[in-house]
Amino acid sequence: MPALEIDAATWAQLNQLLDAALDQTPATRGRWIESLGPEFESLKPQLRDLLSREAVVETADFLGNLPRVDILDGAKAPGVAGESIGPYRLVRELGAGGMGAVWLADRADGLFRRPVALKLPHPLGSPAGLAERMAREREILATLDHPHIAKLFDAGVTVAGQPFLAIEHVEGVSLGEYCASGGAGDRLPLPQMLDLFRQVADAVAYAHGKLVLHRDLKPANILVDKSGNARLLDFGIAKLLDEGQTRDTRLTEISGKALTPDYASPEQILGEPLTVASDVYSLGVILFEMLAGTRPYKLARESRRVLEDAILQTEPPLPSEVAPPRMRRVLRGDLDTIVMRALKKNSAERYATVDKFSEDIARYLDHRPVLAQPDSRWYRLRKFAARNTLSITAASLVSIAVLGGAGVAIWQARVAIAERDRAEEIRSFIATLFQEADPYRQFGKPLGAAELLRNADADVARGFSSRPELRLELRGLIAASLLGLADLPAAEATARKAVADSTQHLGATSLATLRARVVLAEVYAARRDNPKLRAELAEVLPRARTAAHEHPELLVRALRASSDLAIEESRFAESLAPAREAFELARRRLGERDWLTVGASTGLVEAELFARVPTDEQLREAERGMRLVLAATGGREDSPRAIQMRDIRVRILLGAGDKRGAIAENDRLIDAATRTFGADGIATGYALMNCNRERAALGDVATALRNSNRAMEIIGPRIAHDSHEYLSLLSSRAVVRLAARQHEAALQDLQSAEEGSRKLSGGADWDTSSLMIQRAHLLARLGRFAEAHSVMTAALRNDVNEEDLDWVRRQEGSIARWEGNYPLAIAKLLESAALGGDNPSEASRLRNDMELGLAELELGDVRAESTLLEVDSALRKSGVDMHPAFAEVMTGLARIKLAQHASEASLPLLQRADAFWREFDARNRGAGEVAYWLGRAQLEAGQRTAARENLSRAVEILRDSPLPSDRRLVQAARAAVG
Amino acid sequence: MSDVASLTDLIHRAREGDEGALRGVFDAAYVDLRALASARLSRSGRGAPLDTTALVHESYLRFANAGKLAITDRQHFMRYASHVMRSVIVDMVRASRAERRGGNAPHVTLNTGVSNSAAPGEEEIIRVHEALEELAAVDQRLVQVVEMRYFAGMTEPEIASALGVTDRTVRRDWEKARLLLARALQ
Repeated sequence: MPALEIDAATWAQLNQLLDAALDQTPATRGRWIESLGPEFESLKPQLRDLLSREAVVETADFLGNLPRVDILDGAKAPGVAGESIGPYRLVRELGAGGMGAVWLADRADGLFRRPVALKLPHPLGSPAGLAERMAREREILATLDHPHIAKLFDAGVTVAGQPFLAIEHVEGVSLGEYCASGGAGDRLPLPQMLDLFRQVADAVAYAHGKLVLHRDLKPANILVDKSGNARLLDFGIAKLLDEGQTRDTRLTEISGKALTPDYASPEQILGEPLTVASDVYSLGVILFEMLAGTRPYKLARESRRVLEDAILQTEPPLPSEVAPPRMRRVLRGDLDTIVMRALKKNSAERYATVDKFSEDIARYLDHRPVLAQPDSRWYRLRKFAARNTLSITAASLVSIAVLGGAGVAIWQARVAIAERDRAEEIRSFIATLFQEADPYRQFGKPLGAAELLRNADADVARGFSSRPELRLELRGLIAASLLGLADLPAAEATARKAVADSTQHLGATSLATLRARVVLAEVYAARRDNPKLRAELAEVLPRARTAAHEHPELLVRALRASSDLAIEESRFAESLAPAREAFELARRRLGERDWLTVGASTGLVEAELFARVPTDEQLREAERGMRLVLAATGGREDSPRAIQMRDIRVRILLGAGDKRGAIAENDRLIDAATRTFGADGIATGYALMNCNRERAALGDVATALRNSNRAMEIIGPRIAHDSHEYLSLLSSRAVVRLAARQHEAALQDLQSAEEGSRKLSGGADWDTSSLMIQRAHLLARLGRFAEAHSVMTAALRNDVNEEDLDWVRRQEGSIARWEGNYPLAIAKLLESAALGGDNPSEASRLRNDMELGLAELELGDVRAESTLLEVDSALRKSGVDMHPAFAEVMTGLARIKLAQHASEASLPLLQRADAFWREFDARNRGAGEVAYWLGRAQLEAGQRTAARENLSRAVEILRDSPLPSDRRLVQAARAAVG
Repeated sequence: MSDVASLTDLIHRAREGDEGALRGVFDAAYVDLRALASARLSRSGRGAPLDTTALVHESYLRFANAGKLAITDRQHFMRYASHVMRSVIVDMVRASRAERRGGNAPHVTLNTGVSNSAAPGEEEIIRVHEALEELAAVDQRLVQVVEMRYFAGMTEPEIASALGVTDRTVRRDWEKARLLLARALQ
């Protein structure tokens, strides 16, 4: 705030104009200013503004007298040794200041032996109500009993009107002094300093647990005794947390002004309602000062307003930037991060609890990572694992990414439907804890909320020790929220505690117990703990039915858990009935806009998906689900729930074999995810993982490749590389790269995936084996046959998944073909076709036939033509774009024509394949192979120049190919060119 | 005696624009002026107004008689005196505020709902001081007028005589300064 906002040049002009204006009567000034020439235009507003103040300045005699200020020299401090104050006798003055004096005092009546510190504030405030205010202080403070809080014994007002507070006498020095001297003349070492700070934080957290805010934390309020223990003084202007933020009493109104601006939070300065976050901020300033030896805001001028402006607007420096040089290195990084998080201007961005703040410091001290990275929670995906985990459609990952937020939304909705005043009370407690549980901010730092919730459980146990109903409700909510955030072990622990707590205090048949048990059932469902869930449901379901009239939401949730269990145990058909009942009940009793109804609708669509009800039915259900979601979110196409529904639709369409529909829907999913979570959002990344195999199969290999790479860029750096998500990402990209015939790159992906898989499971499982088999196939395509065989042998040492045997045989057939062992290849491929059964998928049948045709071709088998023609016509019929495999089929057919000396029939096929390769990947060995055969066909047709060109190009591309078959082509080409 | 001699010397050098000398004057007269400022602060707004000019003049005479200062040096001294008083008053207010906040004295922070008074006056003083720091860059005389009028409590004729201008000019300057300060302090 540049107070004057005027420069010398402007003032020179303005000064003259002011003189002229002040010479006139106020009445004529306005017109006079108007009449000034245009050269004064820019000065007119200032001139008017200044003159407008004249009346006030004159009438109020502005600055007429220097204001009276009490110069605090301590001489007037109250109290004389020996004087009696209430029941106390003053012994010795401990200190005096502007606010009064502090005396060491005894009980005059000898009731206590121990001397107390007696605070004698100047009775400057309004004397009326002072006694009441003091009594109130006493009441609040008497509830605080903590080793690091100085105990308040007594508070009152003497007959003469002198207020007093009797506080436990602590012999010690202030925190600031202690840190500077380290108790022994040297600066306190960092670990001790942080331990000391944590003592303070624990005391504050304890007070928060008692619903008391400190509101004036500063080093002078913290004493350190001889044994190095911190004691907090002056919970003087504390206020009950659950008092309701609007009902500020006069006490806080008055004392609010007395707060210390140096340690005050922005919201304190703005006079906004305070929360635990305000104490977090003050603790942040204290820690800053302890670590850096200076406060965050160094001001050139120290008017209160300048300081306040700085606190509100200026970004503080990092502690390491202003600390003494030898401290800088150790502060850089984690400690900087921790302090700055506490000092965020926006209270929602700070640590949401003091405990969490303190815990991060403990992490630092233990050398654990601060602000831990989210770990992957693969087990939630098991449900969707049809064949092997790695073949899971990435679609389910989108759900996971979205659910973190949606869980919270559901939770918030549940809070809203709780009885009104109870909900209010809970909200006021929790709102401060959950500021960061906003679904849209979830991504990137999802664990914040989960960690917070784990801490909250301890707070709840302390803070609501005498109120079992509230405690249980809070615990239930915390468990449900942890569930939403996928922290299942913590959710289970909390839910179990809630059930035990409720059974003990309110009885086994109480509603609260039922409610807690429903949450526990939901946790079991999420944990895929089927035996426990089955046992729990056997008890919970009948009770929920009995209670359904009053509390339908409990039955809805129990039914959903029951549907989940059926899916989990592969009783897909049985999952339908409870899912449908849950949805109908929710819709009827809770209304379509209730989040439970929306969730039940999603559950029903999933049950239908697994139960394989006719696709059109699934799609109808999905339509309805989407409609409900949109209605509940006010039509937002890009809400997390809508994104989740779209993702389910993608899976329905894939399940129905509608690849094009699925891809189109997935493009919309990518759009919506990009809008909501940003181009780099995790959910966007998972959406980009979807459907890439299908895209590649339909010929759009380029897009599939682009999306796979983009997905990897987004997700790769954010997830653990030995997680299933990452493996899934790698293995699906490997498939796409194989489709693009980028064999080296695909091999790299598979190697990484295999390593990760080994770390995850030890390597003896089918996931790892299937990765090895794919790797063997790629090794063969690269001409590394010996390796391919040993990898294949190693892979088959493990148990092969029966259902995937046809796939294994096909891979073996393909390896044999690349190796040149065509009879073996044909045998394996025929076996594969037989294993595929009567109803193989179109894609696997085509792949098999293609391999078969190409092997037959090499043997000169007449059946090759019909086999390849069948593949060719199937591909053409399905409207597939040109892609590498299609080009290979065409090349195969062209070779047959060439063998029949029908070059006029072979040329167009080869030209088309050649054009494709030139555009798609001109340096690929596939391009070289086509160039060779095109050259041969052109030779046959007498087009020698063109033939020469293409054969040379084939040599150029294939020269370094490790494949023996390619080397033969190179030799033949050289010979033909001559 | 050497004190007095050096003061004379300092004042002369200060008039030549020697900053160090100016500070020397400040230091030498500090004890007198501090007492004066303190009295002004605690008495202002109530009771009989202190005749600052008389007191400053008295202080000046104590030095002047001993050091044979010329009458022109008196005007000079008055200007410096008011500047010194401003500094002293601001320092006192700052110290007092720091102490009220508890400073670093443990156990003495008594912010239990009792200290809602006094702050506005302190705030006004600090902010006038800060505004003057800015004003000094554009109009030195307005600053001097405010120092003499507000901080030192001199009357308009006294200021006129110390500055060697007419009463009317002082009145006008005071008026303009107040308009600017009113805006700066809003």
